[in-house]
Amino acid sequence: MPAGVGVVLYLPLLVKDWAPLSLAILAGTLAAIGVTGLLAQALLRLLDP
Amino acid sequence: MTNLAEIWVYLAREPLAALTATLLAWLAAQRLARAARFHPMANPVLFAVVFLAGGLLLARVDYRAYFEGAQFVHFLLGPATVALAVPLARQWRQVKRSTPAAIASVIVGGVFAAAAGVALALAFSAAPEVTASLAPRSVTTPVAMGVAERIGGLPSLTAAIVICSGIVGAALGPALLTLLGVTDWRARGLAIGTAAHGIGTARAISVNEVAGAFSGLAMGLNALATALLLPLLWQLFFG
Repeated sequence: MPAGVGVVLYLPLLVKDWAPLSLAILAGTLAAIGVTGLLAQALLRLLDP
Repeated sequence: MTNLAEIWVYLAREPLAALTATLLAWLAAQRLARAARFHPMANPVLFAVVFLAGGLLLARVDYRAYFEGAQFVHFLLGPATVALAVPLARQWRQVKRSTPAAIASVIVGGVFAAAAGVALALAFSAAPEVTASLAPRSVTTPVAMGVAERIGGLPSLTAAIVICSGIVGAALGPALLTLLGVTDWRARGLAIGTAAHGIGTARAISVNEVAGAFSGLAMGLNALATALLLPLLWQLFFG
């Protein structure tokens, strides 16, 4: 929590780069979950049915 | 033991105002989350960060002065992260059998998570320090901050990004996995732990014990893989 509060130091950067930050957080996280979940399920079925 | 005692003596000397503000913000955030019936999007960590950041800006308190007093809470993040290994120990027999599949999927997923963030930042011509701050966003906060600092990112910005990524993963990840037909609790846990670290793992534990154990495993493996691989890959592509 205290580390996250440190974002106050970079408010101008957040305003400037809000689009890549939001997209990376939303789309990047969901894409990573999808890719990892599908791959893990396929590998678990293959190696440990 | 001596080191722990020295840390405690050092922390005890610091002003208590920041620590009190942090605890009050956490209590208020918990109350708000309870009012929202603990909806995944109503994450108390996010609320507390917003309250504290707003408070610092309004009161014009320097962040470094605040952190001096609040670092005891920050220190507890390490032990709290390690405690997530308890469900892993309870499911050890099942986890051991699935280790090869878990290692392969976590490494691929972790690299994909970092690459996706960096690619989006580059596509939007984000500042170099923002790009570097986004790269380690899928791992637990202490590791992400250390990696960000090593590759030229801003550790505090990374910490905020990590928290937001965790909330998104915990809130929307389970629905996405259902939509994609990922029904195996082990695979669901691995996916959430890889992309949404401790926040996702806490959510996974509350839903299913097997998913929680595999999420904890994925979180640990991804932290290790990211700490070892990301600085090398960063040097290779951007050095």
